[in-house]
Amino acid sequence: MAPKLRDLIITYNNLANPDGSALFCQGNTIVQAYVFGPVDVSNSKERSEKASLFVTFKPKNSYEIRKELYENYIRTVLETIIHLDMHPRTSISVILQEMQDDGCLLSAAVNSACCALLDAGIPMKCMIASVTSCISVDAIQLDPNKEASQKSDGSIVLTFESSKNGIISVTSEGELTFDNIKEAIKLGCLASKEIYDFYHKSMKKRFLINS
Amino acid sequence: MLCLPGDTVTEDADYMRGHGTYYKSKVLTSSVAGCIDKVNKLLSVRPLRTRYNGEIGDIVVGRVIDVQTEHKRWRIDTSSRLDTILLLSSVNLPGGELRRKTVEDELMMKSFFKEGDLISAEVQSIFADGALSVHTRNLKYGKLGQGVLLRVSPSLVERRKTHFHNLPCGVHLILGNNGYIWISLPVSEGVESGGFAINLDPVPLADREVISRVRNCILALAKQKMMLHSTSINTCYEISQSYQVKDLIKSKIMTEIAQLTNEKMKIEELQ
Repeated sequence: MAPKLRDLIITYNNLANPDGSALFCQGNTIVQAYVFGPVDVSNSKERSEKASLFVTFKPKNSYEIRKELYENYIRTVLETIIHLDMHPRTSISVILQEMQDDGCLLSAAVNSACCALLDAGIPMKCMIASVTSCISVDAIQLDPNKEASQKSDGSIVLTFESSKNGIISVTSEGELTFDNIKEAIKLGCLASKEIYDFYHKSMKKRFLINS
Repeated sequence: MLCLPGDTVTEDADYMRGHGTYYKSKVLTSSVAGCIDKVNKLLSVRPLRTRYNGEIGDIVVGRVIDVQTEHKRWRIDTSSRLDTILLLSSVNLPGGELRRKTVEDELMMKSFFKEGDLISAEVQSIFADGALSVHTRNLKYGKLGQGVLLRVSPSLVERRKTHFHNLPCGVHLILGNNGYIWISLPVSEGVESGGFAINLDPVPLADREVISRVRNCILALAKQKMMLHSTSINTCYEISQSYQVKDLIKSKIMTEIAQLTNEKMKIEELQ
C-alpha cells in the first residue's frame, strides 16, 4: 500500500522583513513560517556557548490560548537539527502562524519551520519531515483531514530526520496498540521520503531558474 | 549544483572542510541550502541567501540603532548577524579636526550621529565573536543626507575597488557590501564634509524622477538575481528609458528590462 499525502505546495521568501520565510500548504492546512536570525540578543537571553532558539506558534485567533505544547515540541525537534553552537551569543527565532487548520497542524508546522530555516540559510545537520497518522479501530490513515482525525480513536505524530531517516520525535494521543505504532512508523517512513523529495524539488525550482 | 542540509558533498577524504559543511562520520555533508564552492582542495557550500558576512575593507551603509555614551560608541544595523559598532575614536569630528576625543566629545556624541541616522562607513576590524567595527575616518564616509535607501541581498553586491559611483545619469550611488544601497544627488568633489553639512534644500522633481528610476532599475535587476555594479545599473537605466518611471514597478516590465540588460551586457562582453 503506497502512502498518500495530501498535495504539498510551498512559496519561499514571501515576506520582506524576515531572514527567511515559507508559506507551506499541506492539503487545506496552511502554515506561514518565518525566521529571524541569527541576530543579536539581549543579555538576559544570551548564551555564551550557543545560539538561543525561540519558537512561537501563533493560533489563527489571537484569543485562543497559546499552544505551548506545540512550541515545546517544535523547539526540541529544531534544537536537535540546527547547528546552534556555530552562532554563539545570538538568537534564532522561528515564528509559526496558523493560517488554516484542516488536520495535521503540528506536522505542517514542523515542515514549514524546516522550509523557513532552509530559506534563511541557517546551518542544519539535516532536514526534517513530520507525518501524522490517525488510527481508528480497523485502519490507519496517513495525513488525515480534520474530519477524519476527529472521528479517529487516536493519532500519532512522527518526525523523521533526512540523513538516516530515523525518528527524532514522537507524540501521540488516544489509545494506540503496539501494532498500530509499528504500522504508523512504516507508513510515515515512506511518506517522509516523499516530503524530502518535495523539499529538493521546490528548492531547485526556486534557485535554478533555467532548469 | 544545489545541496540541501544532510546531503553528501563528497566522500573523498582529500578535501578540506569549508563553511556550510560538517563531517558526519567522516563524510563531508552540507549544512545549508546552497551551491558547492570549490577552491583548490577547499570545499564549502555557499548559502543562496544569508545575512551579511563582513570583511575588513568593505564599504557598508547602516542605520544607527542607539548611542551608547557610557561605552563611547554607536550601535549600527548593517544586516549582519551581530550589531555593528562604531567607536567614538574612529569617527571624524566636524570640521575634520584630528585630536584625541575628550569628555566633551562624549557628551556631544548625539549631535554627531543620533538614532535613526543613516551612515556610510568602512569595516575596520572584526571582533572575536564576529561583530564588525566600522570607521568613518575619511571625508567620503559619514552621515547621509537626502536620498533613497534600498535593501537587496548582500550576495548581489560584488567586492570591487570602488563602491561610490557618480552615474552619468546624474545620481550618486553607494553600493554597500551589506546589500544596503544608497541613491542620492551627486556631491561635487572636494566639498565632502563627512556628512556634517547636509544640504536640506528641496530636490527638484526631475532629479527625484531620475533617482526613482535608478531605484526601480536596481530592484528589477535584484529580482532577477543579477549582480549589481555601475555597468549593469547604467545599462538597465538606458534600457528603462522606453518606459515611464511608474511602470517600472510592474513585474512584467521588471523582468523584461532585466533580461534585456542581461543580453546587452553579454553582447558587450563579447565585443
